[in-house]
Amino acid sequence: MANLCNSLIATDIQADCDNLGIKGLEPDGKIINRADIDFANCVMDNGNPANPNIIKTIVLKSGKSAYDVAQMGNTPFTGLVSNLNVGAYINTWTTDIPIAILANDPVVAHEVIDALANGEFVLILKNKNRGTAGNAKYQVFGYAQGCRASAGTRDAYSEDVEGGWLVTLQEANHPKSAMFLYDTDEATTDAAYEAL
Amino acid sequence: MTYDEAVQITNRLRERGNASFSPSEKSEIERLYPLVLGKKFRVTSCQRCYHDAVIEIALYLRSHDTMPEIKEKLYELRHGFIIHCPEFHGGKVFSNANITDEIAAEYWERYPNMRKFFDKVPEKPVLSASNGAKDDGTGNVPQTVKKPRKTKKAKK
Repeated sequence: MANLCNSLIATDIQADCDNLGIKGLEPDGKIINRADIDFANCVMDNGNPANPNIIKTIVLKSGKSAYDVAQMGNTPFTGLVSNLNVGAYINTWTTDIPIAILANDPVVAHEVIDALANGEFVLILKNKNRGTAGNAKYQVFGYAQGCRASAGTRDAYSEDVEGGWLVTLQEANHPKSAMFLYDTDEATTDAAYEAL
Repeated sequence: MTYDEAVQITNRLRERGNASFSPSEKSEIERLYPLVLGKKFRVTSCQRCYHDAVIEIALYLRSHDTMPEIKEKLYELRHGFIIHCPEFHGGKVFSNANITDEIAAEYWERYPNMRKFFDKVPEKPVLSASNGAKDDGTGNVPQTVKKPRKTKKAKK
């Protein structure tokens, strides 16, 4: 029979009473220029069975590093939403990640805003829901398609961003609903994240 | 830079209060920060990052009487790469944050196929933990690596 890439449910859909979901994100994460990732040496999960939604190692190219991204307020990264795109042959997902930059000066304009407007990025954000042994803690956005700016505004009198900028990064049409960074256990994954 | 010079510069910068720093003062902070705290200063979009850096420096200098002895690392791993191998120091996790030159040298010697994950290595190899350097006491030091041969002095 020809391979039709059938998507089959492989576990029950029911609440895990010992590990109920927790909404929201921690206020800090990392943003990486997608061109700085050494994809050839990144490692996907090789457990038994392997989970294709888990990235075990993200390695950057020589001399490159990730940058911190931090959001203030009670609901950091508010507006982060994933929506299903129903396609003619295959369904995908599109995720929007708003980032508020509470500043407006020449350095910020040149090194952050202009770069966000035209660059392609991978973000790693921390879910408050850490999952089992921390396997849901670090969610990766943009690994498949890259996150690109889909909207950007600066309202000089905005009380939300205090005259700063609001840029929405979007990963459009990514095939997997969610990707996670996870290696062995939470402590090891923490070390891998901090090493970026 | 001496301790007194660092204190003098820091006090002068602190007198600026909340006023913005000039470009030359920002350069001064970028130079002073790694000398005192041993880590690279990273500019962020936060307007306060230079002021925060001056406070960090001042707090360090207040609680110490001398400048720190900062030894530049001879080995550096690529960002994102961690050493986490059951056969290496009992599976202890090493990254740039906690790896010593001796441990890095040992890994470099034992796993040649992983050398691509090093960002920086010295021209002359460091004596690795397994070749006689003291281990930090956190893991088993394997004895499989041979000691480097002594090179004969060239005859004149």
